[in-house]
Amino acid sequence: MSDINLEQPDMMISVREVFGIDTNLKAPAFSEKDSHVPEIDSAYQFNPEVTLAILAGFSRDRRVMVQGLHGTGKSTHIEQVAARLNWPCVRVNLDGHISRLDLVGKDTITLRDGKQVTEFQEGIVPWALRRPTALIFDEFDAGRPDVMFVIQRILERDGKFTLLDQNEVIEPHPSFRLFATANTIGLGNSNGLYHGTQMVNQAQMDRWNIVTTLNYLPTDDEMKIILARVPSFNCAADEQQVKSMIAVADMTRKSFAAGDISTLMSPRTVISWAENIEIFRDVAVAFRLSFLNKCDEAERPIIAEFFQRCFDQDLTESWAKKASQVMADGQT
Amino acid sequence: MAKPETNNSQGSTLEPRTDKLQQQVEELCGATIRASSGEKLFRYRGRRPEVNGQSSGIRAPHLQPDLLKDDFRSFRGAADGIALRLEFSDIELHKKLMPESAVGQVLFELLEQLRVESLVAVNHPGARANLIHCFRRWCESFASSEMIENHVGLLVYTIAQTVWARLFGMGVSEATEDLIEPQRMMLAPHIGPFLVGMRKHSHDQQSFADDAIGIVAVIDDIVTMMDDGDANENAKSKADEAAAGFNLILYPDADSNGELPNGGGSQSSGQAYRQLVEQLESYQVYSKANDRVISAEKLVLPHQLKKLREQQDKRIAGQGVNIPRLSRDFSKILSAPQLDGWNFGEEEGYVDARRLSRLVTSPDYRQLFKQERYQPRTNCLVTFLLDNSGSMKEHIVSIQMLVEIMTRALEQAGASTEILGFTTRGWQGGKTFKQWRRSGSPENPGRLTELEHIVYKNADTSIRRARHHIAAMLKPEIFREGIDGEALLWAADRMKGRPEERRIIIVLSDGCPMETATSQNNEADYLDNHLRQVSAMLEARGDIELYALGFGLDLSHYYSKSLALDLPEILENGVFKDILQLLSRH
Repeated sequence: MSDINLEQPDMMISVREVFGIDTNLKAPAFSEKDSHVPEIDSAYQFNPEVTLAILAGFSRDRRVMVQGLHGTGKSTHIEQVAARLNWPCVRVNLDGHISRLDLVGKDTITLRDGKQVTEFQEGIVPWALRRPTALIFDEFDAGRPDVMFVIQRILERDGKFTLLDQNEVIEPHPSFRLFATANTIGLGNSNGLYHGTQMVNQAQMDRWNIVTTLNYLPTDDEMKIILARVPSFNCAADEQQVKSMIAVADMTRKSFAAGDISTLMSPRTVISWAENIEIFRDVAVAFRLSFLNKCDEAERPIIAEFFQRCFDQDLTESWAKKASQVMADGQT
Repeated sequence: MAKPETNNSQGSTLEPRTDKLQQQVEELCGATIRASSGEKLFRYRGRRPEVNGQSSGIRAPHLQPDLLKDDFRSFRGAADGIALRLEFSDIELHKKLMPESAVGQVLFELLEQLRVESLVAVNHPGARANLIHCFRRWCESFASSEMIENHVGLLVYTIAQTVWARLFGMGVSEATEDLIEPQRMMLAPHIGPFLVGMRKHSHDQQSFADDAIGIVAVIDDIVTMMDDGDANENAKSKADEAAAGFNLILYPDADSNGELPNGGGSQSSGQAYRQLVEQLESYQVYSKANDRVISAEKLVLPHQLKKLREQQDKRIAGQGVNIPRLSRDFSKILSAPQLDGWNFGEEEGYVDARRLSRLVTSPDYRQLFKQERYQPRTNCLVTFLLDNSGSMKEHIVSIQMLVEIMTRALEQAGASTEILGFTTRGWQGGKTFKQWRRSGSPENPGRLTELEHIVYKNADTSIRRARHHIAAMLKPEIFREGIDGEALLWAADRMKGRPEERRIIIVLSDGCPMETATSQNNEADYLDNHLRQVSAMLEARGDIELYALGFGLDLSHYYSKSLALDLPEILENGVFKDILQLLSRH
């Protein structure tokens, strides 16, 4: 991995100007862009509360966890903040198979002067600790709790990291930052949506200084995102269509909360629906391809009802097709 | 799906089919209402909209379409209307402002409903179209009914049309335009000022209600004037008749003690539960002396059991049900992961000592670890509680097969099962009733009969050993009357000491509780209310899942999770699919 040139943030930027949040805060930033700095997505919509929490993490060296349902753009949110601060960023996707060795480092066999020798190769945690980077643990709750104790000490602000294998103590770089995203709040898969998530040890949960929640956006914000993401939607009719699309998504979310359906539409689904409309030129077909086919067959008629409400159009999955055979519709 | 063979005999098969249809439609509409209003606790109970077990107070006449006359779209419109009402109308305020006269109530209810309907969001064009369709449809059927001949009926109809047209910014129905024109002309100077404000105030319930009450007052005056003009009793009854003709959705009398606790938004489920337990204490039993719990084989002679069993074996063999598949489906729904054994040959985990020698002989070999293995296991007890009242006789052959097939499948899936039945030992109260008569028939005796609770199969007996006992339910002589509430308590009580984690009761019934002696000597709906309270209590308590299968009857009055079934002669997989779906909805 390449090294990072600038050692410290060397400028302050105005939060109001860069993120459009009404506050006088200033945030430290790097003037130079490194290869680890994520690309800026100019269409990205910042949620003020979450942005401030993440900025606090960057400027005050707090450990920040962002929790929220899937597809709300938790990881992207952190990345986009980092992109605007030119802060180098490394994302690690946790899963149940990440072991201690992956995080800390392991002895590997390498060839040196034609001979096989074992050599210690640092894992991602010590590597990041030595550099001015923001380390993001994605799907933090997917990591096995016993393994996650590896980071217990660095979760404290000036916690050092002891590399047992090397008999070495690493002092974190002053600009090292740690973030995490998770679907659950560390209490496991309680609503049946997130299989494979683990219970997070509460002693560890306690060490996160800031826990912020990113759930679904208000309709207007969600609409701005979609219009920005799908540039071909630009006339008033398209705008009306996007409104109805978000109305469908909103109904699926409320219905999920009421326990009627077991899948819901995330903003990501709405975006891919919009993109699929561009490809297929048909709202209903695109809806089927981007969401309906992911749903349980028994729930499709319910979702078809939602679609009918918002588009005044019946899907083939709709019960209305059946109704015409069995109800009074057919008799008149 | 319409089956071709039922088409020719439409008349006779319509009854049971409408129940099932109604349930399907209500399920879809209910889900839509919950989704668009965000009111999670909404549901239909016996066709009436309810929120958190309490009547929703929504009564507008056009919100109750009829399955036989109206199309699916009207149901959709009605559902959207209810959803908007839940979202935009404060029912307490509405009740407070409700005028007193019968016609006034109809009108006020209707106007409030029209107000919220006009608030439908722009991004729900389909919902808007449904609402318009539903209202027009109601108008059509109203205009073609004899209600239109009635002076008062016509007045209300005129107001409804005028206000609707104004709120929706659309024309009045063309078919009746001429009919209502004179009325409109006559009313215009009186109600004009109120009409003007209505559209502007449509977002404000209070100011809109002020206008609505203004209109109600005008109509009330006209109605009284007509009464005076006619100067006889007929006109008065005409107004009441008109109000009744509007078919407001009626709720059972809220003051009767049978009403479930008023859930209310603020009340926690714990409170509701305590209140239910208190209510349950008011249920009395005259005497338990003659009740008995008996195991099924004692009810039928051994040689008879054997014969019944043979007959039933033949029938079951003729069914095309795939039991292994059913069992797999059950275990999918009922099982939970549990630690069970090890997986060997993994690349990480605990070191497996037996493989260390392999590491020495071939250093590249990495699969020397073992890991704990999680396996799905069904730790579940399912109790089938059969209504053994007389009317079940005609269904019993199919029901017996259904229960037996499900029991076999459940057992293969690793669940424990119990099969219980309930009836009474005698007709019309039996010995207990005679005792009561002998002691001078004291008032409010409570339950007045001798219960017979039958154990066909208990949880510790396997279906193989119990198969002869199960056949006992085919003997029709044991079927008498039924006290559902106490039987349900008994079945729930039997589950208490069981080690299984998940407990499910499935009630199979074809009607409401019925016992002549008790019903005649207690207040109305005594047994009905008790059943409702027991099931609501069990549902609120939450440690037991309660489901009901109704045969030719909608049991949603009593149980929140129920399914109306029409059992075909030959059981097909479809029936089981419906049941599985019911169970997976928890």
